[in-house]
Amino acid sequence: MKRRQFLGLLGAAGITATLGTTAQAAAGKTFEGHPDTKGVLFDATRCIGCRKCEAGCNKVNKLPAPAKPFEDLTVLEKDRRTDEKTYTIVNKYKGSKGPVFRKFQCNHCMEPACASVCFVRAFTKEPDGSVSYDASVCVGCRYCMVACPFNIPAYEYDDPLTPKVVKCTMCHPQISSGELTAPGCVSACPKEALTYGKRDELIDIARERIRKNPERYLKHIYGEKEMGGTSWMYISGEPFSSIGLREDLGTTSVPAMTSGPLSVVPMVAALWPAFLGGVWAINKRKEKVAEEEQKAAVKAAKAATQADADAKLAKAMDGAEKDKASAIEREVKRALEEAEAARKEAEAAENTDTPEDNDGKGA
Amino acid sequence: MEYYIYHDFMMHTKSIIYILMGLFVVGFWGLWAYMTSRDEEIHKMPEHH
Amino acid sequence: MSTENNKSLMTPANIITGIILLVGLIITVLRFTKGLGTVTNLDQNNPWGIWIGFDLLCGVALAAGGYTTSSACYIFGLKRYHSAVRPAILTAFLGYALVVFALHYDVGRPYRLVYPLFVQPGTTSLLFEVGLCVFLYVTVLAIEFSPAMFEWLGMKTLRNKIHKLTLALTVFGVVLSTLHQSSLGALYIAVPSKLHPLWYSPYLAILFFVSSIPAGLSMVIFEGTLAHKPFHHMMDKTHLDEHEGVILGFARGASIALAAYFCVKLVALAADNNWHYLATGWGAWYLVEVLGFVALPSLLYAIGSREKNIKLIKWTAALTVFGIILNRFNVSMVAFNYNLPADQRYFPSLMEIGISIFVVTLGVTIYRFIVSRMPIFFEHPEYKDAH
Ligand code: SF4
Ligand code: SF4
Ligand code: SF4
Repeated sequence: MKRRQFLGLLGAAGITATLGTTAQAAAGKTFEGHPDTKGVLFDATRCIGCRKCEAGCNKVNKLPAPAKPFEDLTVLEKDRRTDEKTYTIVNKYKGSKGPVFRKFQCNHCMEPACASVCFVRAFTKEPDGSVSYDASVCVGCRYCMVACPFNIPAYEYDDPLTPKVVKCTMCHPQISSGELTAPGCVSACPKEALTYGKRDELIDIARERIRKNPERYLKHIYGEKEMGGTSWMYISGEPFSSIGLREDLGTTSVPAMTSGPLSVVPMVAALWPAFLGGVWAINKRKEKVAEEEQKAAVKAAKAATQADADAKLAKAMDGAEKDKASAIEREVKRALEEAEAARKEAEAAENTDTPEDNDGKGA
Repeated sequence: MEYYIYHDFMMHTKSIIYILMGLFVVGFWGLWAYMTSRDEEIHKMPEHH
Repeated sequence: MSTENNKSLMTPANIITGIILLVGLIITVLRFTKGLGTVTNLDQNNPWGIWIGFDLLCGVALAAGGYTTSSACYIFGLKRYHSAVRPAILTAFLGYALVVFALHYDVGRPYRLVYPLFVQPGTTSLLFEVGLCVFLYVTVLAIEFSPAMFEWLGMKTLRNKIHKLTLALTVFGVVLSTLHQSSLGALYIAVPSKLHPLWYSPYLAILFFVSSIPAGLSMVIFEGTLAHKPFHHMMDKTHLDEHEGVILGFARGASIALAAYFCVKLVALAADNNWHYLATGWGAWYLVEVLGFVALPSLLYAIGSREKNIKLIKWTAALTVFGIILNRFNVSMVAFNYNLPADQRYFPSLMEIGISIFVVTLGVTIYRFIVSRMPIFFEHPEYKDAH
């Protein structure tokens, strides 16, 4: 997957193949995330699928009441995703030793895809690790939903004029105002399947648990590196793909993927006009040369014909003198003939004089 | 200003680059207009004769 | 200069147009009173449907005739295509105007469509790039088209002033087109996990840009064919004389462009080592697209222009246009979310299709209105300097 970024750059560069430096220039710097960025660790081996976190989230965020009460565990039979009324859901999966449950919500990516693709900067990766959304600028293009690799943002499709994108806030408003000290879902969990804390420390905790109970856990922290890393991470005893977490996402973040095509944009703006102007100038020059050549050719031809014509004229004048006498004779003869013809015609007209004839004159 | 995530860094650099692109366009246009502003006069001269 | 208006308004074509426009208006009201949920089949997993896949992606690709024709004529010095420029600019302008119009249906808060430009630009987004370029390009096309209107209205000074800008506008238009045609493809570079590997490629930007060239050229041929009969009486001698030359020349260009597109497609396949997917069902569908709608039309165009077979060329143009639509549909809908179970996949609702047909009909109606009045297919007698 890493190759993609490079290929994207090259691919998009195409004509300007020498310009593959922009992404690398940024790659020379490293971005470690905000220093005290927080997150949550979810432990699938502890979760019992009680839906208490769903209820807790619903309560602290004052969301509308669910279709079926949170005590009703039959909803677990169906695969669910977050929607415009639900920030988080718990799903049930078949594990090798009985059912396994996995809570899901926005993962608050370290390099959020939603933020990267939003064309009005509606999403912000806050210093506390949460990815917040600002509905006051959102246009509703839904590119964030297209881009989120975890299919998290939901949309209020039934609101005709003021729909919002909806997703888990990591309880950022409540925590920053001091109303809560930890996300509502985390506090509601009776089994400590959720741990809120500094992301670095969470990774240490996860490693520790895996090290202490190697038979209980897989040796992988889902979210440590996926899509450039996420604030919400998962450890499990079952393969992640069997609990609905895609393992084929790779580690490249969306900003890294799009930096290739983006870096070509200014190159097109800078080099295309120069190139096109050059082509135009060459064609113009060709046209001008052709035009001038034509002009010159016409001039030369004109000069040649002029000389020719002069010679002819002189000749004709000369001949005309000699012909004059016979010409006069011819003219007189023709005039006589014409007069004779006119006389005859008038005679004929007199014989058949009708009004129609006058009308026909114009024709 | 320090950037902690690549996305914020990109937002900063790309914004500057978009402004630069606007300047490119104006610059090219200005250069071209300056360069060709006398073409008309030269072009007209032979026509007068 | 009698126009079709002098005939009865109740022709079958007009009646159908009327019905479509009426139905479109009803759906419009529904969209803005009941919301996207009522009108569309969009859902939380499928946020982009036919209004993006067809109205935006296909609309922009097929309006590429504007920049291809004007750059061929004004930049690459192919003056013999001059009579094709105005119709192509008009189609492009209408195409883009309708793309913007259609977006008002799709986005949740259309009244904020200018926010990315004037309120809070998200410069890391390729959609910002698309929005900026489309906005600027619609403006450029409007200016490029305006001389026809000014000639019609008899506003000489203004018309001549703008006419002087032709070269600058053309260059700017090509820059903008290059950028947003490719960026539309690059929109999908962010979703390697959702788009099937046969269609996902780091070369998506190049693929979309290169394919927009044959799309534009084919649209000029296709549209010229459609317009030829009903508007024959509006075409002057130059237009009619050049018509065949334009078709032959454009067929040649489209053949080469399609061949180039085919090459890039292959490179994209090879670069990600996706050969093994060709043996799957997706692979069969991919081959249909690439062989049937890229390689085949390239070949047919070549034969057509070699044999001077205008009829074959016209059919090939239709095939190419269809192929480009197929490709955009594949990227935006068919191969998008390919990993979701069948019951969670998207299929457009009748009302979504209705709006798309409505938008196209609106375009055709405005087109007919304009070409039967303004100097599009003929040169205005007072402005013969256009060459
Ligand atoms: S999970 Fe999706 S919505 Fe949440 S931050 Fe990451 S990209 Fe954005
Ligand atoms: S829907 Fe709103 S938040 Fe999402 S990308 Fe579009 S403008 Fe940004
Ligand atoms: S962090 Fe807050 S908003 Fe997110 S799922 Fe938990 S309770 Fe809900």
